[in-house]
Amino acid sequence: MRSDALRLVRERDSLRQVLDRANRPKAPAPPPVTPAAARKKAFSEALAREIDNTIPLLSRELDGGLELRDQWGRLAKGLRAGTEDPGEALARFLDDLSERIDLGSRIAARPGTYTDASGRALRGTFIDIGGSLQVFVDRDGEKAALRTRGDNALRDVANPVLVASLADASRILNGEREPGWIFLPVTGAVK
Amino acid sequence: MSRFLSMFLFLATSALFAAPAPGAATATKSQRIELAAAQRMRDSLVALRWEARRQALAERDAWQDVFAQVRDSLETSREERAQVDAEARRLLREEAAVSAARLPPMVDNPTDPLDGIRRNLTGRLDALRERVVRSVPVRREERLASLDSVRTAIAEISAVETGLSRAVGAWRAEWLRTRAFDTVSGALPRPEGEPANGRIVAAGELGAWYLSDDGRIAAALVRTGAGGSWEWREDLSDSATLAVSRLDQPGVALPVDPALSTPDGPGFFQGGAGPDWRQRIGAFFSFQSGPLHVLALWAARAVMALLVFLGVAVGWIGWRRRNLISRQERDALPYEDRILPAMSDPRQAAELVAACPDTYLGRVVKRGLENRELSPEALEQILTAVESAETRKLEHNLSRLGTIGSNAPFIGLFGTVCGILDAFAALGREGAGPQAVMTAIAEALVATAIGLLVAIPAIWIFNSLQARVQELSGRAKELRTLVVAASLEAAVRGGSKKA
Repeated sequence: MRSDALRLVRERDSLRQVLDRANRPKAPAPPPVTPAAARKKAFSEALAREIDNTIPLLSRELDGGLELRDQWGRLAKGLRAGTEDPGEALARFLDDLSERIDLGSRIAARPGTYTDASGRALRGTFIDIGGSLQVFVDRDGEKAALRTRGDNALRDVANPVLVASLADASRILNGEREPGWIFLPVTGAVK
Repeated sequence: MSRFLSMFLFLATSALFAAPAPGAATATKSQRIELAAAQRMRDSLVALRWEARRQALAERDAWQDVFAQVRDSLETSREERAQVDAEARRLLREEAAVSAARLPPMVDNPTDPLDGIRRNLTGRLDALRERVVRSVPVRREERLASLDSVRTAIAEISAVETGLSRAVGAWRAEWLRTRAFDTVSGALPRPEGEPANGRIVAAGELGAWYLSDDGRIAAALVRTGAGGSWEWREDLSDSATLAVSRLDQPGVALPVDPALSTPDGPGFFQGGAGPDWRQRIGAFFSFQSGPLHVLALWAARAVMALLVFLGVAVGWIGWRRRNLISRQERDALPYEDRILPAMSDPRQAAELVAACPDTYLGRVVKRGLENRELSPEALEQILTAVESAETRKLEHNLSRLGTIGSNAPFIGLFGTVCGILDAFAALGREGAGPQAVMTAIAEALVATAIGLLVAIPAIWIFNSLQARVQELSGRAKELRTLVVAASLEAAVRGGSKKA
């Protein structure tokens, strides 16, 4: 009698568990993988891979491309996570690349201060040339410094002829001289 | 031909006339006939010779004409060839620019979920192609061909992901090219003149130069307009030619025309209309671009120099005055004990006058004794004048010390304000960081520090010396009173004796 009661209790509990499992709300089933989604995912993955392959090129830029490196890193991560639209991501990525290409044909100047090897702070003009050469010329045109791709910092220019040429460039930039030819150490950009 | 004929005639005539005619005087009729025949033959041969010579000259002239014609023809051909080459090069450039129109059109695939991306990528490749067409014309055809193949693949193949890597690779290649130094050997793209071989060197998008193998031809590439056309220029200056002729040497500085190096409109180096007078005046008074910040900087420096000068002046004046006053103070004669007897005794008066040193007090006492015969009122007037003059001598320049002491802090403050003006102008103009600005402000505050450094000792020295002068003046007044009192007493005593 007692054993029957125990058996019935076990059966009851077992049936209750089965019932609970049957009534438990189920997680939504994953949507069927459509070819379109799969292709988009594959494209996103391929684009993220291309972005990853491009990021190392930034390290050779004069400005280091730190901001762009972060942006591209986030873009690749978002593409892999599926949070970035591949079309928009591609557009942004190619825009950034085009901007980098444009930088190669641009000569821009801005005032600034440079500390030379002796620790003296000089005021003058920084000239960014084609994304591959950065030049500093002090106000008097007597001191100049140069930085090419791969250099960590500007280094003082000792060649007086080159200093004079860079000073000419600075004067042209500042409107103190008529436009004309200047001599640039373009081979310095070659690595 | 004519040469052989001439030689034959020469030998024949020589044979005929070489041997003298033996027994000419006794020649028979047959001999005379033979002689006549020989003479005719000779004449004939001479005529033939002259004819041959004339023909040879005519032939030479004819050949010379032919040679001249051939030469002229060759020169004409060469010029035409150069023109054709230049035209071919121009057409090649134009063809590269217009060949985009021949690229295959997009193949629509509405069922492809990535068709929009493909279309977008194709459009961007076209834009990149335009950029390449406008770029430095070195290896441009190769670059365009490579780009066209990518574009064609993406336009024709519906699967964009297969061309993505190549497309991004094209962008990366262009990016790296703008930072690279490229050398191409072969025929030079001379705008005119004889074809030549050499090397073309391009430095990214900054410019390009070429140099012939023999080093005689050098040129630089310049942009001729905002449209993106380029032109090779061989009319370089001597220094530019020299620079290009050293293309193979490391560290050479090459001529760049920065005025035309920006593809999008006028660049920094572009000339154009200068600013009008309003802009010039505005620029003059602008702290950003005008000379005012330079004035402020120089004012700050001038103030510091002035303060240093004033500091030196304070030291100099203070030292001189201190020495003078100390000398006056060293006079320690007991005038008070000796004045009263001397006023009534001429001998003692003479002794005291002789003993009086050349000091402030000594001079007052001396003048008092010398004029002791005068009335007390007159004596007082004289001594007052002497005392006043002596005090004025001692106080000479002391007022300047006071002026410097009271104004030096304000001068220093002015220098600081000017320095801070320049520092803030530099901050706005250069975008300097906080460290640079703090440094500039600290430098500006040095002016105030120097001002205080000058003012504090100046005031201290001024007060100290002023107190010592007043003390001397007080003693002089006491002596003056004593002398006048003694004179009054002597006058009273003399009046009572008379009575």
